[in-house]
Amino acid sequence: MSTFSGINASVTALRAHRSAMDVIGQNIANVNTPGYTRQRADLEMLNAPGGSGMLTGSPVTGGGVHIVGISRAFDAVQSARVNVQTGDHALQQERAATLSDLEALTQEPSDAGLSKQLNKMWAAYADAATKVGSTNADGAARQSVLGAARNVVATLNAAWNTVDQQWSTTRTQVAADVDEVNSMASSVAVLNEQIQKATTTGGAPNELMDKRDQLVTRIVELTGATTQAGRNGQVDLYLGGGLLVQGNLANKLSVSENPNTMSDVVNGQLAAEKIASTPAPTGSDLVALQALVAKGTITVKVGENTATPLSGKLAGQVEALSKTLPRASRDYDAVATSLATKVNALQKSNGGIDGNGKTISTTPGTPAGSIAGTDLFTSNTPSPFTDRITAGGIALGESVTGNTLVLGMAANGAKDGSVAVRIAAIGTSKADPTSSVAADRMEPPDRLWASYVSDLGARSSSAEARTSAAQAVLTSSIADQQGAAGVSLDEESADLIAAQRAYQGAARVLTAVDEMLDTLINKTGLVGR
Amino acid sequence: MTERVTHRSIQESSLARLQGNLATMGLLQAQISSGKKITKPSDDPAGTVSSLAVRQQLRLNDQYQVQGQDGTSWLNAQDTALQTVSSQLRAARTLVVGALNEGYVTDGTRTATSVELDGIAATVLSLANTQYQGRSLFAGTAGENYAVTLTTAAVTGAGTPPAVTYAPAQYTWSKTGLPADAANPRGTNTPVLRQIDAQSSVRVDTNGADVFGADVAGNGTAASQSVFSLLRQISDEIKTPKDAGADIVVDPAATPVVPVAKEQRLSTLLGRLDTAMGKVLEGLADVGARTNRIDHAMEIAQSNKYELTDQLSKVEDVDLPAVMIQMSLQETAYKAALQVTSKVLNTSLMDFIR
Repeated sequence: MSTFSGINASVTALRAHRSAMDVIGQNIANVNTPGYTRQRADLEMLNAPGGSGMLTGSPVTGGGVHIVGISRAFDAVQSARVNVQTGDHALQQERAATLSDLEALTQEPSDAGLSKQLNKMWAAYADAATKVGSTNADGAARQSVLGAARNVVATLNAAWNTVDQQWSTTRTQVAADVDEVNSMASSVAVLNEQIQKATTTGGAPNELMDKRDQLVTRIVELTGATTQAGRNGQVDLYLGGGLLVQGNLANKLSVSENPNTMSDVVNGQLAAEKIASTPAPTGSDLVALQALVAKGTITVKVGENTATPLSGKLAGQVEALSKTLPRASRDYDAVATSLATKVNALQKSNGGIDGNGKTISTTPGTPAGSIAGTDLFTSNTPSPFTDRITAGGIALGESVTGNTLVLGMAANGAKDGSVAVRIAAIGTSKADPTSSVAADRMEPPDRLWASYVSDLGARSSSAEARTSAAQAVLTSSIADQQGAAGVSLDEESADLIAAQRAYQGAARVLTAVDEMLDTLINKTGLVGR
Repeated sequence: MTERVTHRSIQESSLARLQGNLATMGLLQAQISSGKKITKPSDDPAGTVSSLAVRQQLRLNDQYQVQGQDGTSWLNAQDTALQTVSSQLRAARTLVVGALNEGYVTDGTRTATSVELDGIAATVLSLANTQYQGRSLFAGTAGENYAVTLTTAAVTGAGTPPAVTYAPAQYTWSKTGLPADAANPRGTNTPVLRQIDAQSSVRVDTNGADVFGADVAGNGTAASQSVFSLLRQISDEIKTPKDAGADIVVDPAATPVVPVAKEQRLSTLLGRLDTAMGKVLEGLADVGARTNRIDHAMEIAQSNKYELTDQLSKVEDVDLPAVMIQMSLQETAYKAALQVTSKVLNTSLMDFIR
């Protein structure tokens, strides 16, 4: 064994512990850095140099210590759990946010909601029924019916426009999110490549991995992608059956150009229902309907393959675009259609009489002087489905005036209010499924509205509950992950002291060897001099 | 299951809990400041539905009250009109009885009595045309601005001596329903209705043809001499007694036509006047009964209103003391959480190493 091996061992110790302190320094420096995974200097003792010669046979000490690597305290299982739950939480949150916006829009229960406006309109009709033909009050009562009807229309229009706007905003948001995902996915691919190079050349890719994992978590939050560990520290990302990132290659995520508006989606759904109905449409009708379905369907693609995101913000947004918002819009439309159909049917009652004394007839002209009557509610937005009046398109008929309102039946005398009484009773009526009149088979708008509001409330409250459950699970798994991967200042301080002491000890050994050599070199053979 | 705790994990979970605490505080604060337990449907979907239903009930109840008040005004106007009609007819009766007792004294007296009777007839006719807010009280749904008009003047007979038959004047009611025809000889009458509760409506006009009689069948009433035509006939009879024959027809509408002898003619007419007065009194009683019914319904509607408002408040409004207590508990919890978090996150081994 060499005389200087002691020095060598001490030097390895000094070097190793200085490196360990560097790692601790890096850990402490990054104690608050998001996504940082704590690192450890892995020490290993050096074996004694084996060999033969003069000194073989005598006990040999080891060769000191060295650093075999700097490892990351990375737990793949925990990290995957955090990713899955991040995606789930993002989906639930998006869902709850959409529903919460919709229910805020209903303004129920309050004096500002649609139910109040409808009630006011029915009350105006009931009031008009008592004032038909009254010298001063008749005109005013008719105007207040029109005013109340105008308010109902305005409320429906405004609500529908807000839903429509929410749809457009979400659509724009999806495009922005897709861009972000694409840019992050290419960064992940680039980082994957750098990590591979670093790993194969024996470099330290820890910080690169941290950076990449952070991007992966964000991608998962946005798209609900699943991760799979690849070779040489790389990570692959799958999105609903498509391969988003494989090693150093990233595929482009894209969302179809169509639909452009919420009406496209609604019309697509209606077309699909019509195709499925009996008798099934054929020929050019079918082609036209299929075109509507295609225009109203939103598709997500990864590369060239269609992918269905199952969680993450994107899944929530696609759900809002293709289901939640169009459904709300259709519920609003149902209220508008029921309102218009029921009121218009009574407004055009055969034998009714309007404020000008004209008799209403289904065969205008018979009896002489009779007219067809005027619809109170019309649609100002053309739709491919003519039997529907949308909440966005409902309007008061252009030629409607106070005197075109039909409040009574001609046979009962010009000052009769029986039609107005029947209109006022729509609000509390029930659907009669056996009736031969289409308007009577419909549920009244008030009931449709109440069931929409309560259904929305129930869905929103369950979405909120699921969001907070997902939040709790996510928080606990993040805490677990942080527990394993996060930097503990206490631990680092203790490690620092240990490394410092070890360094001091190694230096002390070096001094001892130095003194020993001094004795050997400078003091030996000087006895008696 | 956390084996290893780091400052960062403590920080994450403390923040999450503090967030939860603060969110609860926010919710309670929203409830207290708005005074509402349900601020959006998801707060209580079932409660929202009851709230909508109660609001609708309240609106209907208000509507019933407005309709009831309107109905009461209609009926009060009819009451006044019919009371006056009744007193006018009593005055007419006195005159007829006087004429009967004194015999046909002189032409001058007869003319005076007849002029007075003509005046009464005009008053009764104008009372039958009474309007309430532009609507005829006794022909509610008719489009015309009057309830009843003279359509055929009395035919007092031509030639000398005057003709034996006497056709009294015909008064026609404005139509409030289908005209009389073969299938429906009386025509129909449409009532003016006011809904006073969920199940029932009350008629607030009176069919004038019923109370005053109709010379022509219509408005749901068969032809029988109207009080206007009767008064006119009495007046004519007193002015110029039709003494040219014993078989003068006094009531062309009555079938079969009954000739009445000259001596009995005026007393027959008096009997008929009594019948007419009876009808008016019946009408008055009916108006009174309907007014009572509306009054009763209004009392119920008023108490329903209190009940519904109370119900709405129970569904929608917060229980303030309970929420305040919850709030102060929450505040204590929040403060404690803040304090503990600040202590835990503030210390580390660094503080103790020199």
